[in-house]
Amino acid sequence: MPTASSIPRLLFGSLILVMTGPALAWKLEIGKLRSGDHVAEGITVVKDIDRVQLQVQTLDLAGLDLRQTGLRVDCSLGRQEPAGRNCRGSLRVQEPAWTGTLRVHQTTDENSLGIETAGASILLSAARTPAGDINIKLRSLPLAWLRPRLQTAWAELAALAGKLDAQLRYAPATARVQGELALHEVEFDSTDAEIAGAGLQLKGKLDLRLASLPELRLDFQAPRGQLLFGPIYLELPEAASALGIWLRQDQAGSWQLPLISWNDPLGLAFSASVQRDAADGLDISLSEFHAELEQSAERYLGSALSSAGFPGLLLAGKADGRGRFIGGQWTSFELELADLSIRDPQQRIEVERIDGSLRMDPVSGDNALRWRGARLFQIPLGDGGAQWRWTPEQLLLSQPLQIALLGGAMRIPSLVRRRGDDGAEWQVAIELDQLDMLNLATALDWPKFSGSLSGSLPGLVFKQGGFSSDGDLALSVFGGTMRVSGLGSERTFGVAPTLGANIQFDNLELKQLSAVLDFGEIDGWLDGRVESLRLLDWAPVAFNAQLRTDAAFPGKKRISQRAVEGLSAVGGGGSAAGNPIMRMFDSFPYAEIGLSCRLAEDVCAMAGLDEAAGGYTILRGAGIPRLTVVGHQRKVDWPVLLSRLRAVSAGQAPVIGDDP
Amino acid sequence: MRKWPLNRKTGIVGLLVGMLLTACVTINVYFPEAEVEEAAGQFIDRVIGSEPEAAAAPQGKPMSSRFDFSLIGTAHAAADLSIESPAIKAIQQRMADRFAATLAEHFDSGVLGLKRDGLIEIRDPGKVGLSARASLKQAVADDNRDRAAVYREIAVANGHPEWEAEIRQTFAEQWIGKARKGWYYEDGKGQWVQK
Repeated sequence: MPTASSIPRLLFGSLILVMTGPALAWKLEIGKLRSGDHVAEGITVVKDIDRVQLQVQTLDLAGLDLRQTGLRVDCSLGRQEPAGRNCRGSLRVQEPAWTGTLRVHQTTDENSLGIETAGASILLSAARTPAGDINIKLRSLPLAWLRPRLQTAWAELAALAGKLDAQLRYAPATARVQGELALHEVEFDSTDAEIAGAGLQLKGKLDLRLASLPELRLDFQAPRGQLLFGPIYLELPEAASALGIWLRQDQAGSWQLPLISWNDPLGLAFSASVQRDAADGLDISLSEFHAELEQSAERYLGSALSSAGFPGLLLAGKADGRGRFIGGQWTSFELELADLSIRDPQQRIEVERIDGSLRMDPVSGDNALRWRGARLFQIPLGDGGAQWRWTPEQLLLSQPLQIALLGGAMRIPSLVRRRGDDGAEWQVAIELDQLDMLNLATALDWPKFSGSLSGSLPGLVFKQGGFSSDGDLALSVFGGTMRVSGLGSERTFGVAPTLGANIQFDNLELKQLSAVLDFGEIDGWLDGRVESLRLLDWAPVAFNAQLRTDAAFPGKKRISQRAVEGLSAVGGGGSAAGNPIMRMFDSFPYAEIGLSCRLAEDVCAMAGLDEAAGGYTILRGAGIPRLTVVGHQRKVDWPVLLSRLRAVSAGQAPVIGDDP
Repeated sequence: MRKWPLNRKTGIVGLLVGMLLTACVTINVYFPEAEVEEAAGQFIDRVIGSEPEAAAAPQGKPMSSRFDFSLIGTAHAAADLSIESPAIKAIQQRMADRFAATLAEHFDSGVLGLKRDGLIEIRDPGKVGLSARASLKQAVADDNRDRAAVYREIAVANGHPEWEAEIRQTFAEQWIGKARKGWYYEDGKGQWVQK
């Protein structure tokens, strides 16, 4: 059986033969030489006394994917001291066009061929035995030469630059090339610029089997440089990572990647095989994956997490897994988590020590996870565990989930994740039981107040980064009740998150409320509603609020001087409070207090109990002294209103009756 | 059960159809395109900085606007519609900072392009070095999140969430209109065109 290099060997051998033969002049023409899938056509050898010319019209080494036309060697014969001969001259190829210098020499025990072109050199040498191994020394070979060849395996390779050095040994008997190689300053880019490398330095071993189905194995140690793979950008450190690549040509002639392995001693290792699926897409089998997240997460996932809107997300713990990725999505997936912790520097989410599995599989997608503490927007959640089933179609909670929350409990009877037309959609039912409002207020750094929250949101739907809900939450706060409905949010974890709700309240104890808000002291009950409340970045931007005291309050309705100041400030300055008689009293009886504000475009449109001369009545007094607070500003700038309220709360407003 | 004769049945159906037709109500929703255009123009000027020739171009419209993006402190009472919220102002400032620090040079070099949907895209990533490409991807993702939030919030803040698509469209046209010479934008056929 002819070896894959029979024809180059024959041409090389004929040069040696001519060089060392008798000093005669002759010409030899050969129409065609064929050996396996290697063909040389139009061969002419012209021998002069001291010169040799070799011309080959077409040299086609299909197995090496190398085709050269119009090849011409022209060299002068000489003597190689101490006991050899040589031939030095030029080499020209028309297509692809290139020129070089050529040196063939023979010593007593070795034949060699050296070609130099454009700073690159190829030196082939072989012992003078019939089947001797050939040593191949390559220096500064431009990688761009390999691009057309690599494109047959990876059509999307748009650019390739860099240099190749190698010291290899070709054994004709086994048709195998082995040795060491080094790639310098490698730059490559895919057509969509999603997969790219720059400044890469790769040193390692090569093992090429030139059988009928060629195979190439490359093992690189400690690669350096920059790599981009979709959302993942890596700056490879000088730590001794290992990269293994095994390429194999299949029966159809296309290259497959039966194994690619990566082992970073700083905490990430995987091995996978990559094939083309029927639709020419990627079929990736991830056979092994191991990550020590504390060391590797920032380096490998940092840029991807930033692009997803979670810059600086801290991950710790271990993950081991495997999976299959076909047609642009994972069809099965398994990740065992140990001691995984997640911490968002923007304090949106925090989970401590997650153990369990994330397994997505059409058949056996049963999962169990446990965690020890979590925080969602700074609200602490207790330890918990969940069991669910995850198939490519959906993710489904297998058993109701119960989590301790703010001194009470959160129960999730059902949770389903489905793929919709516009992305994934989560449908969740939530039941809240006796959450302690003091805990919530503490967690969110609100003024401290006590109370409890219970309720049910049976149809909470998360999609496109936000959520909507039906059902409502009932709060027992300030001795009365509050009902929150229509809870919804956009961009919940994104930029400028919004939160919307409708709130109704009944019989709130004004004494407690005014104490918590540091708004003086009012005795009475407060009823009202805040409709179409919309928070943007957690600050109110729109609502329609109506507050009114409840006539059914059984006690004495009184309001302190400081609270009157507050109401006056809200209404744009009190018309009744300036009266010197008022300074004589600490508190006043009242019949009714009412205030409404429609907030839009940062302006609060105010109204009160009813219209008064030139304004609106905020407080209607009763008994003696009879006090009336009338607001005159109907449109109040919201930030101004907030600063007035803050001033009242901080005791900075001018105090009525505090005349020295 | 008694059956209606056919001609009688037809008569009743005809009467019902007639009643329905006369009861039809036409609802005209007015999208204040000129105001949105002007407001978008002001927003964009604050993000990319207006060029002298762009600023000199006569708009032919009064400067007072129902969409008032002005940063004046307290005189909002006269404004009908606006997006004066600290969150939107914060996004605008962030976009301006991002534009000056990262995006401007890539618009100038033709790496970035303005899309028809009011977002931006890396149209020629191969022109950017690898580490810069990674950070540019992040900047573009962040900018597009900010842009989407702005379009949505303007629609919602003005009480018409259903205007989002038109606001987006108006902004897209304004971004392209205010693009500097040499920048790329997506034309109606989805092709990149250099201004």
